[in-house]
Amino acid sequence: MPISELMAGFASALTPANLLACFLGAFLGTVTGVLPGIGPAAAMSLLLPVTFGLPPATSLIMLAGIFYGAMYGGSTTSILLNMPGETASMVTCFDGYQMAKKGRAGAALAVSAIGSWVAGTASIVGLMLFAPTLAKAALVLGPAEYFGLALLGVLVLNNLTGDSFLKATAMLLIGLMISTVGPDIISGASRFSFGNQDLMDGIDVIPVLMGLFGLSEVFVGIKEKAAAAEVCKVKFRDLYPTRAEVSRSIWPILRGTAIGFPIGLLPGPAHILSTFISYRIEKGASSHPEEFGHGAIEGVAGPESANNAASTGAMVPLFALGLPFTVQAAIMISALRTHGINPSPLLISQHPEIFWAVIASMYMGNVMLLILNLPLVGVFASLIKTPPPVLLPVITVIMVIGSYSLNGSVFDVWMLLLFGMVGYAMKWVGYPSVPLIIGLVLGPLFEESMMQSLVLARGDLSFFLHRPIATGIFTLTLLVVLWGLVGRSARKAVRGLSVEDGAEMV
Amino acid sequence: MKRRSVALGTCMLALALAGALLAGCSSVGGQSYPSKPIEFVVHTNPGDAIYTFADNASRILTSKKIVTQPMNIVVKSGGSSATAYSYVAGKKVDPYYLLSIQPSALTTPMTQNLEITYKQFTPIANMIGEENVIAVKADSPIKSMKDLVAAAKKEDKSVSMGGTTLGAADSIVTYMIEKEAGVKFNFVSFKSAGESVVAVLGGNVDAVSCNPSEIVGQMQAGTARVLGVASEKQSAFLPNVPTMKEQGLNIVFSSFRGVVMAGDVPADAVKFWQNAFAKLRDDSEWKDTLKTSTSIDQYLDTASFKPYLEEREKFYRQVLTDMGVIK
Repeated sequence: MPISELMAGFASALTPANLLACFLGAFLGTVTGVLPGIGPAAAMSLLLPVTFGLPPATSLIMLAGIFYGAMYGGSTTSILLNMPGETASMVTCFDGYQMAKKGRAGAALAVSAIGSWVAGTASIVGLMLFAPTLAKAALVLGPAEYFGLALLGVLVLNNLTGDSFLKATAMLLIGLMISTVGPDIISGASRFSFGNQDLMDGIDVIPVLMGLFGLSEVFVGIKEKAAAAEVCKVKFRDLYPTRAEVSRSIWPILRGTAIGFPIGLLPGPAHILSTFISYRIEKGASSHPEEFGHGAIEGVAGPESANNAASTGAMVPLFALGLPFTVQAAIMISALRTHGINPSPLLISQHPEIFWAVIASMYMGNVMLLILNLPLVGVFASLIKTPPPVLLPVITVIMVIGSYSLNGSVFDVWMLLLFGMVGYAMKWVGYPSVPLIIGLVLGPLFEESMMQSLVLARGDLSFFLHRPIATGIFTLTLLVVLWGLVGRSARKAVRGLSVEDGAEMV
Repeated sequence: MKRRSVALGTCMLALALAGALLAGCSSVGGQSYPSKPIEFVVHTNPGDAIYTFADNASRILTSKKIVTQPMNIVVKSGGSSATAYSYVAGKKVDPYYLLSIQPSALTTPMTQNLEITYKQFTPIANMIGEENVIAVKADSPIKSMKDLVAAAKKEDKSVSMGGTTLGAADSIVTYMIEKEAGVKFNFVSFKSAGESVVAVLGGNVDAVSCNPSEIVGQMQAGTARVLGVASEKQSAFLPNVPTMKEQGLNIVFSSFRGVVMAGDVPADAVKFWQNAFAKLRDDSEWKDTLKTSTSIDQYLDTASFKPYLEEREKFYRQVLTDMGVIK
């Protein structure tokens, strides 16, 4: 246990400049997390030029703070308004919002903050102790393995909310189709762009997510007029979780941490995927799965811990290998480059003062965020009391700004509006939006790794069999599919009923 | 009598005003150019090399008072740089817009069949370039370019080479090696250079084609070996790495990064920037930025830049057609 280095790190992290940078980063991260449409990547790139004048450790401390801070704040609007503040908080909407409707908003927010803190702190320990080993292990995964994981993900995660299997699959396929709009990875040829310059780069996830979940909720709120905000007096006791709720959350938090951290090591939308997987696992592990979707606190505790663990896990390849696997990590790498530090596996040994200062500040940042978020639970919970005619337009404006800020393009705003209407229509007709997002998020990884695998295989499918990990993943996928099919027919036989569209896939 | 003098007076006033206006618009250099802030347009976000290039240039030019007006970086991302080009192309005649230009300015119009081409801009100067290398995992049996070619010769596409999109610098260097050595690689495209380096380190591809910046860290850590650099002399960033020429493969290639303005801008504006960037090239702070961005000085003044672009355009067109990327 590298105690002396850690102490040196704390000494450095506790200097006024670094403390301020940590607080600023954490605060900004929370704010960007809370605001729907504006994510940590946007805030980090905006602040990147500011970091040029700061010492390297301070820059990283601030940028890292924004990254994990956003994972704290994202759940706020998810719980209170059924609108994800951040892509990784989408899953929190399912049960968090239901809890809020039952008057348990404070409990949900508090559990979310506590889970985030536990996950954040535990994963920093992992980062500190195991970074180089884990990073090397992660390198083994290649296109074949990622393809397997993407396929498994698509099959296992498509029906998180337990809706009609056919409807969920249809939406998943549409999401996958939308993800193919844009440049082909091999030739760079643009697909489905219809000559439109904006479509040439593809359709961003964030406006689609904000539209499907956020804007459609706004439309629902408008339709239901003032009836929506029937707020019972929120007693102080109601602001915090009951003992039962806390004890129910312990295992989900621990599981979320354990799941999120390794997923953060993988390239791609790790923090989003970690929430999906955590939710799936919690549903499976729960003794009352029927509660999920109606206010099960495990559905909030697990995913919120997972996304924090994943965001810290994403820093493992950054520090241990000098390679960024996510957009946010890439921004941190550019910050290092402008200071003349070339990120590499030698980073930790050549610049231990930077690594340990950042580690120490992450511990502190997580504590700061817990302190920031817990008391604010009351403040946030009372946000619901704002009359919808005021709240809804404000949220809409924030989402529009967030969408525009992605690329400085009005096109993303049009996407927001389009998918807002699509989302509303889907709610009306009873089609789930979640699978569409899963398709959109997993699509690029799925397609790219599939193409890369096929190129490497050169037409010989036994390529996959020569790779034990990939074979293992594909076998698992096959088993999951068979289990699902067998499970359905088994239940059919037991109940003696005919298969309806409403039958739930395992 | 009085009326005539009033009329005369008004005429004189009008003439004087007209004269002053004319003097003002006659040439940009009449008033001191530049007289308002300049926009430096790029197509990538902060953190990316192209944004950093524009940022470094603007910062040094203004802090050393070579340019006395503010220079603002404007990001027009989208369309694989097409958005940035159409934006500046639309500013014809307006001398307050600079645009960073690199190979994608030549290749994107070809691959996307755009109507806008580099000919619609006024070249000012080329500043830097980036070298290209081939690297393998440290414990790979391939230890030199010779080994690489020998392994590839055994069977077409038996050696996999990681890179990014077809048409990018890494794919072009791979293509040049294929042509020069008479082999065929199995080129695997990744979304970014970083991902291709991860793939080679994990043994998922046999070799990788990339820029020094992507691999120097791994080389220093001993996790990767750089087989050769495609330039006339060894790279300052990769000590002791032989050039491909030294190993018998006559391959020299670098990508360029320079500055252009909109079409048909006044000659004195061009002269102004020509001088500004010439001064920038000699600035010591600018030279430092070359180190942090792992790029090399490849300065070309206005007179040489235009023919260089023409030659490069022909080169890229021929290579891309050969590769089957464009028809």
